[in-house]
Amino acid sequence: MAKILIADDDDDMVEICSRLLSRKGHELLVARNAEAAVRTATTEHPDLILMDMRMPAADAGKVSDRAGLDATTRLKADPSTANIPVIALTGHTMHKWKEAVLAAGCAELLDKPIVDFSILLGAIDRNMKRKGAE
Amino acid sequence: MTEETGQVLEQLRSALLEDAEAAASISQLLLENASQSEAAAPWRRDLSRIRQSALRLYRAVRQRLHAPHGTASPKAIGERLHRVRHDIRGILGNVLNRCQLVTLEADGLDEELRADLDRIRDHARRCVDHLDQHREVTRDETPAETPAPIAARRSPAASPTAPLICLPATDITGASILVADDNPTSRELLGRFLKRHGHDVAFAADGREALDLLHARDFDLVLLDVIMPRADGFEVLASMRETGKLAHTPVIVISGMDSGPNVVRCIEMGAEDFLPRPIDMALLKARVCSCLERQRLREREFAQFFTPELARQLVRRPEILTGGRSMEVSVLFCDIVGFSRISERLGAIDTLRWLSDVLDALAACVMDEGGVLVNYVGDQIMAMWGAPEAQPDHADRACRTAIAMMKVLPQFDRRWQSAIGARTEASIGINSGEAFVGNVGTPRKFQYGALGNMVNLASRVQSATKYVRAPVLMTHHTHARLKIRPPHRRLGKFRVNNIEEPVGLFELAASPPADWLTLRRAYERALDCFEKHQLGKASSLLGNLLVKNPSDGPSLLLMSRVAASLFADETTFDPVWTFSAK
Repeated sequence: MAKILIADDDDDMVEICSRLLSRKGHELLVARNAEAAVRTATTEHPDLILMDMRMPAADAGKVSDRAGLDATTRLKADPSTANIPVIALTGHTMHKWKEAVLAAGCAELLDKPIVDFSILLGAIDRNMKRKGAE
Repeated sequence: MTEETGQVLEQLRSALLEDAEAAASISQLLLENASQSEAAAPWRRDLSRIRQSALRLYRAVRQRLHAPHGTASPKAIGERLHRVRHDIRGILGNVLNRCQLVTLEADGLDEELRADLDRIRDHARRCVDHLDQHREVTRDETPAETPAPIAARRSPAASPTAPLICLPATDITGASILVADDNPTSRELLGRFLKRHGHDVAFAADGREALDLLHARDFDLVLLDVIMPRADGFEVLASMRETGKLAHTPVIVISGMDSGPNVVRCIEMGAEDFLPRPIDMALLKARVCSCLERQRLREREFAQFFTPELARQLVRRPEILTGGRSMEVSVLFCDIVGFSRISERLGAIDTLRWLSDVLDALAACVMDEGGVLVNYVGDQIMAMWGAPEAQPDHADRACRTAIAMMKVLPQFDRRWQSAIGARTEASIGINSGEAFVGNVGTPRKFQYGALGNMVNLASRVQSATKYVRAPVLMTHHTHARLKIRPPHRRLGKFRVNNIEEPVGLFELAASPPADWLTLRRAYERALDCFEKHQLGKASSLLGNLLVKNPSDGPSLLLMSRVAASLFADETTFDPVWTFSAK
């Protein structure tokens, strides 16, 4: 049972994740842009964040390829949110990108599309366990 | 866009179309079936979304993923393909996830509907595979927004924008690689890939197992997962650093399940490189090759002095070389006779050519017997056996090398005799015993070799060949250690320059004449008589011997000593020969 923030502007993805995760007993928070993701993380202190890399930077903002990356960097710079594990979701297959995402402090990086839920659930479990162990 | 890229794009498009079409058709059937099923009612909306997505997928591939007509700029093409790829991945995600979600939530769904959902998922998965396989076409061609990654600097070779340039011209194979990963699928995948490229692969399913294997064997490369049960990657790295293995067995950390800080920590702990998950085979190949290439370069440096096998070991365990220690070794000095006379006649350039010809062949003899070429300067070779690895038969190896050296020399007469006006000849001295073995150069100029009295003696013995008139000499120390004795004879006791203790010298006969045994027995009997001061008997034995072998150097020399002793006072008689000059 964990509080999980999903930052994604794709309605289908948000719906699917909320149905899947509530089945597993998790509580879901939703942010539709990077700005909202940082705000929600700071106020709600979720146990874990699923962060799409590509989304609008702010409400009604233009979709950017690195909005999620910037949000992660901001969260990692803030001591109050720095230890919330961030699982990055990206359709980018470039290795340069993946390395940059990991370097920003994301705990894990999942390729979009998520071919099987076990990948997502496995990543969540792993990071919750690791966080619990700390 | 190049023509080739256009073709690859076309292949990708037709592969995607096939699976997208299949997914769209099945979703239509699914929707029809579901409309008649009461159990499926709550998921009808999902099923219709699946149908819509499958259709969108098909349209996106069909209408937007194609080679451009006209003359769009590469940047514009790159951006367009980037968007298309991103959209296709999003649609596929929707199809895959909804199919799985329905399967998960709808327990009572009938088998036919479940089977259809599985089939749609299969086609969608295949689409993802197609995209992954052709990522070079649909990758971002304008990575303007991508920040410089930490690892790009470390291994520019692995940059995805130039995935092939990094591969060495010839692929390196035959390396022994340890794959330490707790994920069985990942182990299997890595193992299959590496074996297909001709490497020898060992597996560890956890950190403990990895450490045991590392302790038992040497590897050329370790692929290390960070998060593992029973000792994680950090522990493995720490232990490798402690035992000194890390300095020369490169480790590539497999990351992706791990955070960026983990990767940084691994690199700080001495890992050579990292590989993101999911593992990209082209990237894996490039990183493995570049690691092994670096390793091979170091081996090549060592191979100047050591056999290739030993060089390989030393690269992995350099501590063998750095610390000096006392060891039982045999040392051989080989000198090319008449070097200064010949260089005067030949001139510098031809002398060098001749010398490198000869030294090369002699050095090969050393390598053939697993020896270390300690020194290789001017007209002299110094070689050693018994270190850095113990060789119980070091004396035998040294003697066999000496014989091989003498046998290889005549081949140079054909090529060089007319030019140098002489035969190419060498003289060899061998001694065995305890020596200090290690770096005998300076910290700046590394030279692996041996120091000690036994080394000086070996050098003096080599010098003594011209007095004793036998080209190959060994000391009684070497003689006593021989397990198999090649043709040889005892030449008596000698006191060489600056070394007080007399040493017994033996001649090694590289090409013994047919009646060698007779010659040897007669000579040694005469020597025994001489040493007992039975000079008359010695001279008569030597007289007979010289009738049959008039040019036998040691016999002539012994005869002259017998004669000198006949005239001298018996009280000053000393059977030990003393050489005054070095």
